[in-house]
Amino acid sequence: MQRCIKIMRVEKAWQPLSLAANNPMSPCMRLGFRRLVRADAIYFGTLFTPTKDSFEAGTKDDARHKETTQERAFGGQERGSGVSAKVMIGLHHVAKHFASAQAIRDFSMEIYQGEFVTLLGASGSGKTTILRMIAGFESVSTGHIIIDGVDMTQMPANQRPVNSVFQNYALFPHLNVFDNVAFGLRIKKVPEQTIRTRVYDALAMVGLEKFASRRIRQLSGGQQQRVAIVRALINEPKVLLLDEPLSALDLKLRKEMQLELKRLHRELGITFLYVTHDQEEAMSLSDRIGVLAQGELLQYASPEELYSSPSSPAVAGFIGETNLLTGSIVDVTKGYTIVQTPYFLTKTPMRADHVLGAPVVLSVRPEALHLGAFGDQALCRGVVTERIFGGSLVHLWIRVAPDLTLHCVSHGVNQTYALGEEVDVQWDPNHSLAFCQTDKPPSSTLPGIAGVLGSNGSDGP
Amino acid sequence: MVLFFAIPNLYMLFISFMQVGGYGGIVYHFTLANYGLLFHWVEFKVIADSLLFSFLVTIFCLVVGYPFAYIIATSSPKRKIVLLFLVIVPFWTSSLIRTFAMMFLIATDGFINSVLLSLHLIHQPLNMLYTMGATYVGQFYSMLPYMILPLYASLQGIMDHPEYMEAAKDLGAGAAKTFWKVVAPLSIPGIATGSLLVFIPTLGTFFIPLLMGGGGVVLVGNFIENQFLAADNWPFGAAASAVVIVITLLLIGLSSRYMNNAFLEEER
Repeated sequence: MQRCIKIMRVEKAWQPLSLAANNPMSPCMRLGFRRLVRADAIYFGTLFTPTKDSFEAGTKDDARHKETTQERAFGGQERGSGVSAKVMIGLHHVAKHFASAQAIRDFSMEIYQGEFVTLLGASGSGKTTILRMIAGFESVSTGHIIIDGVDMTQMPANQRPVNSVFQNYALFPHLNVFDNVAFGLRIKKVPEQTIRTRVYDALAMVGLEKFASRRIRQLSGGQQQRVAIVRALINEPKVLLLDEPLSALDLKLRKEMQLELKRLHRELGITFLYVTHDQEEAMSLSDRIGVLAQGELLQYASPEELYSSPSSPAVAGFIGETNLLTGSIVDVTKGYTIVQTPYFLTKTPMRADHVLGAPVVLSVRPEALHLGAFGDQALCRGVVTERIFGGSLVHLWIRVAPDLTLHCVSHGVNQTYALGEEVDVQWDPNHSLAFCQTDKPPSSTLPGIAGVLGSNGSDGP
Repeated sequence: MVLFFAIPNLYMLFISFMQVGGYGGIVYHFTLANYGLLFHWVEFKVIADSLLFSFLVTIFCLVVGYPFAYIIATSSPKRKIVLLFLVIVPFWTSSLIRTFAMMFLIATDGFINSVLLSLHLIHQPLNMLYTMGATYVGQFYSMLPYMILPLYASLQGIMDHPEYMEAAKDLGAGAAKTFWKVVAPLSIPGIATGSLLVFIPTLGTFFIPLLMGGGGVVLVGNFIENQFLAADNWPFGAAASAVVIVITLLLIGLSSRYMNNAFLEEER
């Protein structure tokens, strides 16, 4: 590739840029040309101003360039976001007892090759403990951890085919960027020449090739994050473990890194296991999400499924915002269950566990609520007590009764109501869910539940 | 500070450039002869010997102190307190008194010889006191805590951030490689501080060579003491001190580069 670039520099240096960019060329030639565009832009100044076309061509070339360098950096591992049916990680009845308490009890889950799976839970839910058990930093009390078909339960951390990105990056402060990234390859005694190319190619993937000789402390948070990810990925792990890697970054950078992670996952095809307490992050990144509470897996499904059919009020409250109303089943008919809440009757899709007279928690997403003047069709009527304008979305809180305030999200600015205005409330029964109340009442510490359930109706956002 | 530190030192520097009187005392007349004398073979050897002595004592302290500090840093909190207590206890006694205690232990008719004799392991008392070896042991013993404590502080800082060691293991390093590639380099500030704290007092020591080594061991500390007190040649002694101080300052400057790279602190 180097040779190619040199040839390009000699032969094509005089050619006007827009013309050259439209010529059909091999990816290698195009790459060479792309480099040339940058160089010429400096030397010739305004004489050959790169046109929009040439830059777009360059962007495409960049993508192609990344593919080829990735193959070199990561040994041409099979690519693509195709999630295969092969189980990469199997957790079988894993439990973890700490000296004082039981952190994880009877935890089982499977992660397919190439999947992006997130463990979502509040702090103390055991999600990090599970990650650390897979990495080998934490012993397993009972149960088995299978990675790529091999029982790794007793395997020391340094012999497991997984690599981690730590919450605070854990980049070695005594080494520069290059040596940090090269650390794993040097342990494996890869020839120094190979290390050089692979480290530079890997750094190029995240746009940090110019920072190779920098000290870690000279990097910004986002750059450190990228180095930490590259340091793990360069070892071609079967699974990349990420422990709240973005929690130290500010919002804008976090969004940027989310996209970067998604891109890396898609392009490398490595299985990602991600841990976070941020449900939005989990939703936007993952193929599947495992929701954890108190060391137990509440539900393990795709983001869409978790959102549309959560298995419990706790999951409903954790995944997105929801209104929770208590009531009891008064009738079961034609695929629908009729629920009597303290203020109105409503129907909801029937579920298998619905029996007459059972107490239920009804969950209605804020965006399922309709406001207007519905007359007899209205479920209830209330007063707007709070209003938050959030750009494309408007949040409204409607007090239906002293102990019941509903949260409503609506698109569009046309449907706005002033504070104190009376309004009818209605929702499509198919967009509500009724959970039979088991012995486990929804924990009020979960976000999204507070403020709607029970008597704390006057709470605002 | 000015009164007790700067003025005496500047005065000493001043008289190191003066001539000595025929019967001792100082003649206020500028000369470089005192420094010239230091390059004579005997005096030069004293300084070279002292540097070697200090270097070796520092190495011994490092080799013995590092594992000890590592054990303390990785111990359970309860055991840590006991071990740290054991390191600090010697500070409660004057090092002069501890040196006398050691003399008693290794003297010809001392404790060790009497025990060995009564056990019939030896038939003649071993000659341990008043040797170079005794001087090394005495200096090593009195300096060891100064090495252990900074090393411990440095290693404890690393143990408080287990993610560095976990990252090394995660990247495939076994216990040995984790130590040599991560723990040891990160503890360099502790090594530098401890070495300095051992090296500098050892370079200036005079009573341990005097008591443990007898008259046979002359280090630069004894030499300076002799010039001031016995030979009454203050300018020459002052010149020798000035050289020691310059060496010391050079070493501090050198090692402060490593100490300033306090790797862990700058992280947070």
